[in-house]
Amino acid sequence: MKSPSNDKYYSLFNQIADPIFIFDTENCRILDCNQAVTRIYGYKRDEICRMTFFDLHPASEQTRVKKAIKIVNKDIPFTFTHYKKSGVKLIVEILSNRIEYEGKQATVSIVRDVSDRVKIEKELERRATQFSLLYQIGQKVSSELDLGNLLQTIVVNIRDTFDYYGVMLLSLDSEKQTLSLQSIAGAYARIFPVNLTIKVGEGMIGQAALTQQTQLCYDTTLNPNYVKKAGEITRSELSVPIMKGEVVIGVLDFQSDLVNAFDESDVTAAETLSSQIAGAILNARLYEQAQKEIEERLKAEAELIKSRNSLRAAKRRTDNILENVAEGFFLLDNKFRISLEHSAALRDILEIKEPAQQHLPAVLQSMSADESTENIVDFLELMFKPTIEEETLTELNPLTEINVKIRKENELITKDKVLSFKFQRIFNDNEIIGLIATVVDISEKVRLARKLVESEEQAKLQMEWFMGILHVEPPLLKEFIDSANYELDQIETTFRTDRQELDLTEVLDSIYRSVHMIKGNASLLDLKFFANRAHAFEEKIEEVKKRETTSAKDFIPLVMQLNEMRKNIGEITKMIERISRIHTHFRPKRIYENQLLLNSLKNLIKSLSQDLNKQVTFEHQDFDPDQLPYEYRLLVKDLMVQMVRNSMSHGIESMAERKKRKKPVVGRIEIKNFSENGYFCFTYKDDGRGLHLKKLRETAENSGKWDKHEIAGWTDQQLAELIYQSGFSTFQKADLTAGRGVGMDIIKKKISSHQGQLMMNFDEGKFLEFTVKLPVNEN
Amino acid sequence: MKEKIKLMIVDDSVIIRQAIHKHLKEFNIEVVGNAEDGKVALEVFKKTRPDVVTLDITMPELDGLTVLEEMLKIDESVKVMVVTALSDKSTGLKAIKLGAKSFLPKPFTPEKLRSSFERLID
Repeated sequence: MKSPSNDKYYSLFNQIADPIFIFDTENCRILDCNQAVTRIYGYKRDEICRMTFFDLHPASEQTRVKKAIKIVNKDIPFTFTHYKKSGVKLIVEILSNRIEYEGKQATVSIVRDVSDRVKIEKELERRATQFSLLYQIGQKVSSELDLGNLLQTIVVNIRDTFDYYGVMLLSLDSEKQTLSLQSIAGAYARIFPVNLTIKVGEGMIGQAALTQQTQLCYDTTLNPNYVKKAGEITRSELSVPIMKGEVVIGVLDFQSDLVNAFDESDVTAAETLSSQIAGAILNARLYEQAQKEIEERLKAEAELIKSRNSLRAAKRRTDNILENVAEGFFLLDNKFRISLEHSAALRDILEIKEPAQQHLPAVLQSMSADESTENIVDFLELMFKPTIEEETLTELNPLTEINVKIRKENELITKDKVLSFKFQRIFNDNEIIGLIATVVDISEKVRLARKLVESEEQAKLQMEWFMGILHVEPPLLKEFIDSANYELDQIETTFRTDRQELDLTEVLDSIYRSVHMIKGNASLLDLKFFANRAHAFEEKIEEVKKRETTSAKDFIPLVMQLNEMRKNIGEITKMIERISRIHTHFRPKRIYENQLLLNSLKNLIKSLSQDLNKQVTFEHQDFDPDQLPYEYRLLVKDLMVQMVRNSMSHGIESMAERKKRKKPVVGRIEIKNFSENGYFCFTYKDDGRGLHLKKLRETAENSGKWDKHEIAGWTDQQLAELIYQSGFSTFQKADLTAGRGVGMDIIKKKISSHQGQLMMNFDEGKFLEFTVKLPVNEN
Repeated sequence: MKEKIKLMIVDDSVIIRQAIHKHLKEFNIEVVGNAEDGKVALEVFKKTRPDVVTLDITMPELDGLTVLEEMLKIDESVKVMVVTALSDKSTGLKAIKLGAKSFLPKPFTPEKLRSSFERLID
């Protein structure tokens, strides 16, 4: 090529390392090029100069090239593809500018072969992608802590990320020197058995494990180590040992159906993956281990919490109990100190704000307990000696009833209390580790016990009186009481009289006389208590008498003496009343039964009155059921019931009839009792029609039992006694209403069987009266 | 049959001594000695060497606690049941401290005596 301007420029043009094309802007015919073009493209210069710029590009770029030529891009290169003469593809960056070349509009294009750079860039990009993917896998892998899941995650992720044909992960059993399939992804997942094992040293995988080196096979057909498995179409393979420190734990294996599928970058990626996997497996194992540990720990913690809870619950319960029991409840250690654990009541009983940690004997000493500290300490010391029987010691507990004086803060007055402590040993492995102590405030109990003793003494005193009274004849006793009351009244009157009007000496003398009278009478009857009481009264009077001057004040003790005596007389009167009550109460059954007699008669009359439309009053004021001998209570009841029935049914007329006969409309039944020569007697009387003698006579005549003449000779009394005849009233039913025979035969028999008597008195139309006499058995 | 338990009864009241003897008869005992005062008690003790002693504390001549101490000096294995008034816990405690094995408060019931004795010889 001739240089139109100068050689200097041309030589420069040729020395430039990048190819430079000058072509006709209009038709793209290459006009000139430098030497770099011929060197890189492989074309000779004249060859190039017969070509168009388009010829360098693939057909697919034609449109883009045309566009590019129209614009000038002298700063920013366009990237295109150029082909060498050999057909090798070049990645080129083209900068263009307009020039005038031999009078023509030409374009100068400087081409830079960037093929290597692009290749490197692509590789870098691939690596970057790989690493980013590796990182991603690593992330996934390290977050997957279950070992089984982890291995599957690894292979699936590797396969998806790198688009390998197949990925396998095998673990090494160092004892058996075999590798067993752990996880698999890709085309072989369905071909290889899940229990696939490979011996160490066998094939690519076995070699990787044996040599601890990555095995790369570009073409399986050329590698002697390659062992083909059934169904395999692997053309290239990469096996990377998974190392844990210096030890192989497994193999990561990649297969491809293409020759030369793996290069150095794959090896790097695979090795990186392998180390990550090793870490992940380690993590997972650690995790598994940790998981187990955590589980155990959780279990243990749960147990602990549980036991802690139950302990807490127990403590709560204990606290609750300790808060609520009325007893002071505490533990005592071997230094005799009160424990922290004690019932709330303890504070109230001991009246100490904080009893915990206090020395019990000292506490008691501070309360002036009426038991020596020495004894208390002796006792507590012995309680801690296991050789001494607890039961024996319980007997010797000096604190079962201890009097203390409690002085509250800022108070001078002390409060007396009686406390009762009980102790019980707490053993731990035959050693006494403490005492359970309870304390109760027994002040009230003791007070009551004392009161009881007092009242017992009082009762004893009363018993003495009682015994004294018993031996006195009742009339004499009554006389004594009456006279004592009289004398006491006299004294009282004297006291009440205006003393101005009386000589005090005279007053005292008069009182003295009265008291002396009582004393004399009491002595006579051997009523010692009263005699002593009166004697004491006398002495008081003597005292007052001895005084030179007397004032009203001096009478006070005398008034008190008077009141005391009054009280005693009152008490003795009450006691006599009580004795008489006892007397009646000793026959409670009789009274009850006898009251029952009157009540049942009342009820019977009431109910029969209603039934028969009659009005009847029952008069029993003169009947004292208490005098009814016990043995006759049933008999008398039976008799009276029968009599009442007869009166109500037959004796007492209807109200209308009574009116007609000018009798009181209200009928009357009256009972009375009296005693007579060893007989208990009672009368029963109703104001009814009495006995109908004419009817009785007729009945007797009609009975055919007696001769008519005989009957004619009978007195009224004899006629009347017919009602006692057995069957008399029953065989003449028609006459029953007129006769009075119902059950009278039975009544008569019953009375006779008790050697009693039954008498009858009547006035026809006016009344009928029975008198019953029953002998009283003196025994 | 086991050897009889040699018992010595020390009490100034003959009634109490007889009562103790009577109520403990059901046990396998042999009363080897009786004493009504402390001095005699020690002499009898030296001679008879009982296994068990019931000892009244309040006695003429030599007081019970001294007797107890002397007895234990002679034979530290002797089991002494101290019999004293319930109100006198202080003496009871002293006796236990000195080495008495049991304490029986007076007045006692036969049951109480027997149960205390049973525990003592157990």
